[in-house]
Amino acid sequence: MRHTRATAAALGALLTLSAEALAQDHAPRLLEAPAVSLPADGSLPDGASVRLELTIDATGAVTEATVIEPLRDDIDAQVLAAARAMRFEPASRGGQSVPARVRFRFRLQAPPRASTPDTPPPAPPSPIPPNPYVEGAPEYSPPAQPTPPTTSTSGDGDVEGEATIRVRREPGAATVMTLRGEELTTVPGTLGEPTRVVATMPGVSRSPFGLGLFVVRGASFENTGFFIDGFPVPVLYHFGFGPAVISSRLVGQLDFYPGGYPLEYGRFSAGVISLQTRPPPSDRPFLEFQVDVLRAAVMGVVPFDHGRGSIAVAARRSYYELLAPLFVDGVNLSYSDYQVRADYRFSARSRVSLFVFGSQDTFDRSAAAGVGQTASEQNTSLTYTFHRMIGRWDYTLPHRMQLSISGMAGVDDVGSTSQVPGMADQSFASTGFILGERASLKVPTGRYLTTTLGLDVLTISFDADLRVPLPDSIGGVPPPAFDPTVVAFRPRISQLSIATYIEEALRVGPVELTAGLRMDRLIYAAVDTTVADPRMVMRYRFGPRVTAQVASGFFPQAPPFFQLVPEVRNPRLRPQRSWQSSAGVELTLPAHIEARLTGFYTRMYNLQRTTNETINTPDGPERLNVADDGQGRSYGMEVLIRRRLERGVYGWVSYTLSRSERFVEGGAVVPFPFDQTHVLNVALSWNINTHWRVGARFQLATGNPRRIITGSYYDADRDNYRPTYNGRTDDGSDLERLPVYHQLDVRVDYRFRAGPLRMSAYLDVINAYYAQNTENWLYQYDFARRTGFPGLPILPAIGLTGEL
Amino acid sequence: MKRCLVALLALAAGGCIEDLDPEAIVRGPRLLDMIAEPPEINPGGSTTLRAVLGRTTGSASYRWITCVPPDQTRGASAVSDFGGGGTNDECFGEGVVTRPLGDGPTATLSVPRNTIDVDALAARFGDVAPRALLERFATEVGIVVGVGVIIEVDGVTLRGYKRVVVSLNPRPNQNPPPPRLRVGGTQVVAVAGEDRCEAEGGGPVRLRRGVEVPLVPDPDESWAERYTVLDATGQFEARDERIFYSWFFTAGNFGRGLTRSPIRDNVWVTPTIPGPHAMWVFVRDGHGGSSGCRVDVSFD
Repeated sequence: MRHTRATAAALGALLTLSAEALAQDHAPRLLEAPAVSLPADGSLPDGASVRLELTIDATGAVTEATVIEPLRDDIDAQVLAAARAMRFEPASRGGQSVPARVRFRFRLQAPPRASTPDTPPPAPPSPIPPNPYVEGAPEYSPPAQPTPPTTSTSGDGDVEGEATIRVRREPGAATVMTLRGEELTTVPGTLGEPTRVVATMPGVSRSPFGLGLFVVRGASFENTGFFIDGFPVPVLYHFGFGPAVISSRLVGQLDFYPGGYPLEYGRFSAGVISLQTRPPPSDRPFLEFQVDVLRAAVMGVVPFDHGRGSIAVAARRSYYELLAPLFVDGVNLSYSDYQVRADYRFSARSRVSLFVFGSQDTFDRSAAAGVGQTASEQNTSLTYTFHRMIGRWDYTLPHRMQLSISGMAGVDDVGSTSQVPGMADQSFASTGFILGERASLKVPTGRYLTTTLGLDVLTISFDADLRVPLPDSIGGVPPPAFDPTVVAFRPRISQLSIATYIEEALRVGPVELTAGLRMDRLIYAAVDTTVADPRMVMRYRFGPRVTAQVASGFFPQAPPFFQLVPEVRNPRLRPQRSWQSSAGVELTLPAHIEARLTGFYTRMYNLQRTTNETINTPDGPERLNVADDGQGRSYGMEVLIRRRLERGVYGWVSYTLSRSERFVEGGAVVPFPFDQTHVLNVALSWNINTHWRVGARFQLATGNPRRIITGSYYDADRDNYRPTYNGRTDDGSDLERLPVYHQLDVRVDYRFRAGPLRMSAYLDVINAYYAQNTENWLYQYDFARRTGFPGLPILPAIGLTGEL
Repeated sequence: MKRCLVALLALAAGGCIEDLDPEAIVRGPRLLDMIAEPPEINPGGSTTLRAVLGRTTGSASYRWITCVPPDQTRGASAVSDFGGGGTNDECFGEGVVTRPLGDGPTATLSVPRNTIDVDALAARFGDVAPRALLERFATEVGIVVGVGVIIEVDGVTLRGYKRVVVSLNPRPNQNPPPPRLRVGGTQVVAVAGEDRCEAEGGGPVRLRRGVEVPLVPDPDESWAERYTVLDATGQFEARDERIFYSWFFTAGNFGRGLTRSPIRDNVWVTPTIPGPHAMWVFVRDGHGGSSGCRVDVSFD
């Protein structure tokens, strides 16, 4: 099904509550609504609408939504989902906020057709600024002058209202999975963290310990990028099964592209996870706190200038360090993060925002110093800190052209130490300064064509202070395994990437063709190259319920900076590239269910591999250390059957059948270490009533492949044992797999009021039946015996949130 | 960053391995060291290799082999995606060329005078390395001849691998002197011609059960040598030997399995279980040279 996304914000623009106010009383007024997706294929008749009945509590939240005049299953589901996530200014009676039941008619407006230059587009129906976070989507914000109700009622009386959803076009992505509203925060096993929901999507291999190291369509986890508001961030999660690095309250939408991501993104050769933040509610001051067994968080919002602007401040701090000593000595684990966001709407066409956020994680075993002597017993600490400041300006030009300009400045600090008594300390410290700038202009260039032009510049400068082991010397006797030769140096690696892109979206009848080209000029270390990446997506709609799709494109990625350090790595490494192709079909089924079947094939080039090769250079012979001629491939099939949030129930079944392989010297093809043949996720959540929500999630995944260790021998010079294997084979007979992984997570939410507070308590139990999974094998020093590295135990988390 | 997370988890696993034996405990037949005397030879020279076994009861049969490991100038890695990496099967992997070297407790490796032929090296590697570099490499670094041993003893097969350096070095590397140490209050010295140490003046070392016994090696490491490597950047570099001590025990608890300057000392909490007990200590120069001995212990 061809989708375009609408934003129910437009609801606000056209919403006219048909209620007549009593003196000082008024009906609920729409303040905020999330974006929704609707078909933009012309299949909606003019004047189409969905009539709803909403129950809005005294805080303005929609506690119940039902369709009383349906239109079409898929559209009804979209509208309902949007309605449940809307926020209202509550009804008022005698100056007190009271619950209300209202009826709304959503008028569904077809996507804006491209207009000819001499046919000016219709003026916006109300002062709605463009959505600064979803390109091309209008967004609702509270009108400066609230629309008066047209029918009288308050309290539990009925209110007639109506709204229009404007549909926006889908960007040129092969596959995108979008999560919003409760789907982001109530999936069992995710501790309410939107970013962890991605792990349950098709195409994602199971991540060990729920770390969120996304192995997407068989690519290494370094090849999937994390973006917040269009700019890359190094991590999405805190350590220790922690939450995302920004408050889920600020997350408006999460887009997961397992492959074939849009041209506006780049520099990652596999998938993209993109968080779009949203302005906080600006109708009233707002305070929220959250406390659970591992952390505490607080968020406050202050609107100003009659709701045209708002400032939000949020912070979070873990207290693992209070709990860790109960389980293990000498270990400290902690994290914190902060966000400050300011939004201001100058006019109907112009809006700005400034978002400053940062995160710090610390894992420190150095307090255990003195007990370790070998590399496997060393005392280690790792600190990871980053800060980002993103400014954005969105402006709607005449003729529906949309201009968006944003800039980012950031700092990444990484520090790691490793101490072994009697040996040279190893350490890694780097500071990266990052600047980015993005600009995009979307221009409707005809009835059937839309052109998007973009610029994406990113520069990174890393200053590192390293004390690291050298690779083995050539010839002679290698040093003992536990005592590598440590050298100290301070490399500086800079990377400049200038990308321009152009995308043409053609829509004719049932056909939609999006084609584009992204040119990346990559300058780093000893490399200066330009990479051209064509990408194409074509969809064909066979009817109202069936859409087929094919996509293909190229995706580059510069090597990580530590692979470019001349002293120990290779500054001449070329960018890694992948060629991704997919084909699939999307079905709209009854009962608000949609299904998607996708086959994919990805070919990987210029993968890095370690080597002892030496080459001649003008300065003499030089060891390569790392070569860039590795290759690989992955292929498979993904199935997603999903029921969007409807009548309080949402859920999905996702299944991935795949194979990821690498080509090794000698011609053998070996599976990637994180290759998982079958990955199944089943998630279901049910809103029993206004107080209770229950849900469960089940995971099942094939174990990762490992080479069969057939024996070992003692290496007298390295003073350790080395495993022996059977030779590489194409039939996999030299491999075994870890045991099948399975896990059930359950979650219960309870919402209630405590005085002026809207409270919510939850219990999220990870691995509810205590499946004793094996994440890896741990071997005895001589490989004669092994034991399983255990997966997560039962991990219950109890949390409490309150909102004032 | 993401790799760091995984590495940290691997380190954290240290608390999960109580089911596995520590390396320093010798519960059964075990190959503890392979010693080449001398560890580095010139072309035309020879060296004698022997295996030091621990906790054996029956007689052992030996099969010695020499082997040419996979091409060291190319390496053998797959793709450096996480978990990738190559294999280093030396004498026991696929594609390794081996030749028998003998079947006694010791084996003698003799290398012909033309083992290092700079002309041949230049013909093979001239496209990547100038002749002057190859000459210096042959003189100061040397090439490696791999020696493997397969030992059948007490129904167990033990396998070991050692490198013998062949170079044009006029002062080839030597093994460390036999260990000298204090075990508790007893000075222990090596018995000439044996891989065994005893109390100075003769006899086993006498200890009490279940007590903490300090183990203090002789701090004199003045015999350590300098040597040359061709480092990761392709440059020659002189390095000093870094001396370390490997410790093994039949039972009991111990401080560490490895020690090195400046914390050479170790601690052994002697076993309380009955039976003959022993400990071993090996001095290694980190450059192919080693020496060591077994210390038999009797308990009061």
